[in-house]
Amino acid sequence: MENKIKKIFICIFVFILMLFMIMTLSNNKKYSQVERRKLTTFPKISVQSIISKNYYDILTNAFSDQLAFRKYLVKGYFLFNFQRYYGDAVKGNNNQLYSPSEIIPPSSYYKNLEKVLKKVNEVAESTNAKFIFLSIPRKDAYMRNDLPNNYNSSYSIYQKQVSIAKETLNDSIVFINAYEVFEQNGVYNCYYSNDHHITPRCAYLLLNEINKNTGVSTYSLENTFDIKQTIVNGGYNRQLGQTVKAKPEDLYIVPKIDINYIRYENNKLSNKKIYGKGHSYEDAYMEGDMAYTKIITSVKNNKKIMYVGSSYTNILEALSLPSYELMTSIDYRHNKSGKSINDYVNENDIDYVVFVPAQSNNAFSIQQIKLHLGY
Amino acid sequence: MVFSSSIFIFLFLPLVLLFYFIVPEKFKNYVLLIFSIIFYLFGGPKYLLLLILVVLIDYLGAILIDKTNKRKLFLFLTITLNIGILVYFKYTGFFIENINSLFNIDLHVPKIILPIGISFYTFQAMSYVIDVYRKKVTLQKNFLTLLLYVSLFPQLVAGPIVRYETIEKELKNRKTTFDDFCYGIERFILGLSKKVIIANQMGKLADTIFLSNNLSSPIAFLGGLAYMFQIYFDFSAYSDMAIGMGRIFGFKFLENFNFPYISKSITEFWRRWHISLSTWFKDYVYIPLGGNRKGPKRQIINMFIVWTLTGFWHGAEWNFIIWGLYYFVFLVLEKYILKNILKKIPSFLSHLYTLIIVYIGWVIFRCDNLSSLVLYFKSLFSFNITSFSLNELSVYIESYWVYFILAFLFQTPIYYKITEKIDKMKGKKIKEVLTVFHYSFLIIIFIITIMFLAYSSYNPFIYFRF
Repeated sequence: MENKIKKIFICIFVFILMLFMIMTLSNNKKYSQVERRKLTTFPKISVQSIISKNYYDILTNAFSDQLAFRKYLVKGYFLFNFQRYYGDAVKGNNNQLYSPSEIIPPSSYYKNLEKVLKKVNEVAESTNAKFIFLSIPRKDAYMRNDLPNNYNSSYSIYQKQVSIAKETLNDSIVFINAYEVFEQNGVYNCYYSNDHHITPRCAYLLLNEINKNTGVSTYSLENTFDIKQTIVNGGYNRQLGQTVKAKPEDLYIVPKIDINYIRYENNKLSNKKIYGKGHSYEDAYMEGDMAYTKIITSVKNNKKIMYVGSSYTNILEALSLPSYELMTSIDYRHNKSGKSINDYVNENDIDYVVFVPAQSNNAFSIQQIKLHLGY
Repeated sequence: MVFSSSIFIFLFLPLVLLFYFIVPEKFKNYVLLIFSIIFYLFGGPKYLLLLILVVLIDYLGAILIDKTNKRKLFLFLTITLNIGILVYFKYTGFFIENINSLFNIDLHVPKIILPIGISFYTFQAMSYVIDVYRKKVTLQKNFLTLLLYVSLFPQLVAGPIVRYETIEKELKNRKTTFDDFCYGIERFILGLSKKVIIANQMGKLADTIFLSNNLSSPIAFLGGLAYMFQIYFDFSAYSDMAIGMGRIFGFKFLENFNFPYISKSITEFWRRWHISLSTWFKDYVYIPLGGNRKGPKRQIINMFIVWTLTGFWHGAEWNFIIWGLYYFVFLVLEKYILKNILKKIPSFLSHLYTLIIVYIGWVIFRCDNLSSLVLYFKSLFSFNITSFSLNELSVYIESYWVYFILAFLFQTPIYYKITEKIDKMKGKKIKEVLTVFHYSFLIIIFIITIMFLAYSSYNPFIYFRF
């Protein structure tokens, strides 16, 4: 009987190996909807490829990406960790959703980060404007009280990145660490429960920090804007098919005072709204991500600011209008003009460049920094 | 390629099993050799030539030792070439950097990539040559068989350091019994799950904490503890998988770990930790130097040499040398002062003493450079405990408690004790039920491990560095 049990055990083991081998090799998926990324496909074999290490690396990655039943296995992993699986998001406490844990970067990453930050120095030196580097941590690095079980916060990674940035960036560049700003002001809920973007109140704290460095007097948020609450349909939530119902949160802002402005998109007059409504971050500010926005306000203080970044700057742009005579923004993910930051600074006689290379999966993405430098 | 990658488990392993068991007996070694070479190609095709060169040196060296009168000369030359290759690839950068800082000069530091497994396979190859010299083993006339011995994929990149004499007979003639095959799978599954479920999770926590600045004492302590488990479960898991796969193919590799964290002295710890390395140094360095035969003074010098080399073998950094010397101090202390005290005190105290020494040793081992080591120790012993740090500690514990429990359980021989008891049971029905439970448990943890593998892309084996 014992041998029979052992035979069954061996058969099951071998069956699992063979099943996975056959099913994986027959897979050829090019894109993962859940992960929103291209999958590595099996490379073609040739005599040349056999002697290239790259070939083996691609093959290894392809096997991982094409692994049979991967989707179900990952769901199983989350269940084992007592986490609910939500596609590319993980549910923590208090209905908070987070991106999957940030992968610990190899030591080479930090060396590359240093290099790319030196590029920031070069760009900053080449412009006449004062350069402000605004660093925003991932939600899980800051809002750590609600992390999912067995979730590895990117807090330490972020702290290390910040310390490298502080060491590497020139003294002439102002470095604002959003983490410190949020913490010093004692605000915890700086991110939406089902999105990785920051709320207007926390963005206002960052704007105040920016204003301290631009010499612009700050305004009272309550006296200037009405902050309306709604159930936010966040970036995570939309992919989840509305499976997580969050409580109403601060989302759209309605000016209490007259804010007059002329808006240009890609140098063309635009009637797009700055203060929108709706249930998503994109609906609420600037009508979403734009390649090149230029707004002339009625403020007469000769202060001109430019934001370089991604969707994280949208709320900052919307909040900046009562404080600056000219507000421009560039999003190099969409901006294909070929113009550099310096070109825009000269074109608009910009005084302050606020550089915000944040993204949901890595606060200090080297690719993102490069991208925002216009490379 | 690492054992805990999906390509190894679901492509390489089934293919090698398939070919190995369908070919006739006389071709089995060739199948293993071809697959071992394919396995090594994944680590970088150009280093395959280096591996072959090392084997060729030792193959020819052994022939010259065996067939000529200048045995000592050829032994010296072969060992020098082996060590020369190891030193060039592993230590050149370290030596030049230190010369630069010592003499305040600016010599170019070449960027030499460490070939995977070089520390392991050079030691294996040297053991063969030395044993031929000592006439402990017979000369291997077939180059491909010697190449198979050194490149055998289960132990190629992270050990255990298998001596030629251990598998000399099996290289010529071996049989995989049904029980061997079953045991091999069991050992492989246990190793894989130890690596993927426990070591990787502990690694995540340890990396997070060791990367941080301004650690509070509780967090620093937790980081050290996580690393202590990570390194044990990482390395012993690799040995489990290697031993398991070896058994599947009919090889009986010696054990490399024997539950080191249950030790009651540092001397005992080193009898249980990385046994193949410590016995290698004992047999090929310590005893030839005179061991304990030439008086206490000479013995201490011999121990100093062995432990400096042991530390240095682990990596070309000062912290590894310090780590080796740290153990040298405690081993000497135990030999001459603490031995009797440790015997007299209650066993939980000697166990606690060992764990504390080992724990501190791992912190030394983990810190990449001296400044981070000093900083970590400052955090550890500052006894800086704030409400924030306790809150942070509770967050980590809440996240990792399952893995800590698993680690605490599986660092003891509990699993083997239970399975042993099942084997010895007399009641037929109960034994059958428990056997079903035993193998079902293995299948379940195998599936859970696959889940972890599918999720995780962060999966480096620590011992690949060596």
